[in-house]
Amino acid sequence: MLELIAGLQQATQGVIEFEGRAIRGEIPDGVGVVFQEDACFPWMSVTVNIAFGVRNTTLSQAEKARRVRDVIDMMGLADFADSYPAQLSGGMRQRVCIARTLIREPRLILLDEPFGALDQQTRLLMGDEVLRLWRQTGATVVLITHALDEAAMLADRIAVMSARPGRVIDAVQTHWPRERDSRIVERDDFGAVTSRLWKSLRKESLKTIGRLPEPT
Amino acid sequence: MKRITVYRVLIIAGAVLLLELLCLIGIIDRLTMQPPHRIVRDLAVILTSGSLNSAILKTLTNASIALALALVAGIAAAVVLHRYKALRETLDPLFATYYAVPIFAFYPLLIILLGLGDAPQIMIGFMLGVVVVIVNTLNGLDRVPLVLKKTALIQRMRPIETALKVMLPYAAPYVLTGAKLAVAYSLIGIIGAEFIMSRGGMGYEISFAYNNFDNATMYPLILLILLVSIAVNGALSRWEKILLARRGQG
Amino acid sequence: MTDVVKSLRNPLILIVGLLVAWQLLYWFAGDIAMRAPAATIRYTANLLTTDTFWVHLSESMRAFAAALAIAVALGLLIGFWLGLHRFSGDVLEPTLVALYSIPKITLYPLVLLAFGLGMPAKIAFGAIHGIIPIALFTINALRNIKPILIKAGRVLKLSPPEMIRSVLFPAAVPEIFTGFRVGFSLTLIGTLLGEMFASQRGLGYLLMTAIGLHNVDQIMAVTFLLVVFAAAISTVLLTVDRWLHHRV
Repeated sequence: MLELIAGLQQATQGVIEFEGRAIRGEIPDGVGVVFQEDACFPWMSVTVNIAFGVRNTTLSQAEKARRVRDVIDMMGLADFADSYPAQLSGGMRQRVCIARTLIREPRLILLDEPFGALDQQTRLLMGDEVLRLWRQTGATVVLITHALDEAAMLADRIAVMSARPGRVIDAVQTHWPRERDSRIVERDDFGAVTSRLWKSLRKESLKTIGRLPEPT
Repeated sequence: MKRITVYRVLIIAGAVLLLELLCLIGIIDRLTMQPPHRIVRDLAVILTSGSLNSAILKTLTNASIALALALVAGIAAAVVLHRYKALRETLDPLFATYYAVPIFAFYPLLIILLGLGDAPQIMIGFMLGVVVVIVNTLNGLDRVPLVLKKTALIQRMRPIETALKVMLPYAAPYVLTGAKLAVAYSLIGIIGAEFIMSRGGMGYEISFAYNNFDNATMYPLILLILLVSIAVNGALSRWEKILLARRGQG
Repeated sequence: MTDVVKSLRNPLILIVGLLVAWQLLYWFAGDIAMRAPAATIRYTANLLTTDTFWVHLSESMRAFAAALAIAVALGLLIGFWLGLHRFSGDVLEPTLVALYSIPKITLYPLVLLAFGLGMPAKIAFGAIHGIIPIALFTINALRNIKPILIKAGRVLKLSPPEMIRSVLFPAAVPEIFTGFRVGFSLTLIGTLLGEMFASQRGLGYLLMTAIGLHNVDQIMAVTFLLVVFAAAISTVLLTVDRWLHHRV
C-alpha cells in the first residue's frame, strides 16, 4: 500500500489523493520514501549519497551545499560525512537514507518498515529520531511496521490491517502529547494501546500461519 | 513451448536460413564456405562411412582423459587449498593470471619430456582445464555456510569425510560450472595441439582438409566438434539447474 | 609485518618458487628441451636489443589493441542490450553461453577463409575470444543490481538517462570490470594464436617459427616475455578489480 501512495504502483480500485491531486503512477512532488532494505548507493560516500537527493532540483549550488550540511548535522552524521556505506552499521545506513529523503524537504514522508533490519534497542532509539524529525520538519509521516510497540509509540493514528486481502480492520487514536519519546513505553496506558492492537491482530496472524483462532 | 524458447528457436533457425541463403546466392562463395545443408549432409556421410571414425574417436577419447584428470586433480587440489590458507594465498596470483599465459608454447617442451605419443596433448588439455576447475571449486567451497561446517564437527566427522559428504555436495553447482569450462578447455588443448603438430585426430584432419581446400571434409568436422561441445555443455547446464532448483536457488 | 610488506611477500614467494621449479625442471630435462632461467633471461635481454624483435612486437601490440577495442565495444553493446532489455536477455543469453562453450580454435579455418591471411584474421580471432565473456559478465552485472537501488532512483525522480548514468552503470562497474579482465586475457591468447597460424609477423609467428626450427632459446625467450607481460598486466587488472569490489 505504501507503494501506491508513493506512486510506484497503480491502484486497481479507488483513488488516492495527496494535497488535492490524485496520485497516478508517478511519484508526486513533496513525497519522500524510506525503504526497509538498505538503499544507500555503495559507491558514494555519505555526503555524496545525501547530496544525490537534491541533484536534479532547481536549487543553487550554495543552497544545495547548505541543505546537505544542515541535514548531516540534523541526523548526527557529521563524524561520518566521508565514510562509505560499507563502513557503517545498519542503523547508520538507514540514517543516511532518511537524510537523503529529508534533504528534499518533503511534506509527506513514507517509511516502509525502515527499522525492520535493526535490533530492538536500536529500533527504539531510531523511533525517537523519527519523532524528533517529525516535530522539526512538520511533515506528515506514514510509517508501516509489524512491531506493536513501535506503532503504539510513534503514531497519533494507527490503522490496523488484516491479512490478505488487506483491509483496515481497526483505527486507533492514541492521545499522546506531541512532545514524546520512547520513554512513553513506561506509561500505564501504553499497555492498553498495544493490547488493543494485538486483540485485532492476533486473529489475523493466526490465519496467516494456517491456524484458525479459537472462538473467544 | 514457452514464448522465450519459441523466439530463441526462431532466431537461430533464422540465422541458419540466412547463412543458407547467402551461400546459395553466391555472396559467400563455395571456396569460403559450404551451404549449411551440404555441411550437414557431408557430416552424415562421414559418420556413416566411418572413414574418419578413428580420428574422431582419438580426439574425443584424449579430450575425455584430459577432462577426467583435470576434474580429479582440480577438485582434490581445491579441497586441499581450501584447508591450507597460506598455500592458497601464495598460489592465488598464479591462478588469476594463468589464462593469459600461452600454454601452447609449452607443447614442444612437453613433447621432449613425454615423447611423441598422445601424452603431451593430454597434458596440455589437462593444464588448460585444471586451473578453471580449481578456481570454481574453491569458489563453491568458500560459499559453504559456517553452520554446515559446525554441524559436521558436532557430528564428529573427520576432515576428509566432511569434505566429501558435506562441502563438495554443497559446492556441486559451482564445481559443475568449472567442469563446463574444463570441457571446452580440454577440447581446445587436444585440438590445438593436433593443429600445431599433427599426428592424427580431428585437429589433424581439419588442418589437412584446410590445406587441401577440402571444405567437404573440413566443415562437417568443425560442425561435429561444435555439436559435441554444445551438447555436453547443455547436459552439464541442465544438471546444474536441477541442483540449484532443488535448493530453491534456481 | 606491515600490510605492504605482507602483500608483496606472497607474490615474491610464488615467483621464487616458480623460478626454482623451472631450474629443477631444466636440470632434469636438459638443454635439448629447455634453457635455465638465467640463460633465458640473458637471451631475452639480447633479443630486446634487436630491431627485428620490436617490429614483431609492435605488430602484435597493434593487432591486440584493435582486437581488444572491438571485443570491448561489441561486448559492452551486446551486454547492455541483453542486460537491460529483459526479454531479449532471456531469449539470447543461453545462446551466448552455448557459444562460449565452443572451443573457438575450431573456428580457426573459418576465420582464415573469411578474412584471408594477415592482420584482419588475427584481429578477428582475438576479438571473437573476448566478446562473449565481456558480454556475459555485463549482462550478469546489470541483472544483479539490487532492485532496491533502482527503487531508490525512482523515488528520487531520476530520468532514464540519469538512472543509467548515476545508478545502473556505477552499480554494475565492478562486475563489468571483471568481464573486461577475463576478456583481456582471452583476447591476448586469441590474438597470439591467430599470429601463430595466420601471419608472417608478430610474436606468435616468432614462436611458431622457433617451434618449427627447434630453436629452444627463442621458444623460451618469447614464452618468457609473453608470460611476464601477461602476468604483469593481469596483476594490475586484478588489483583494480579487487578495489572495485571492495567498495561495493
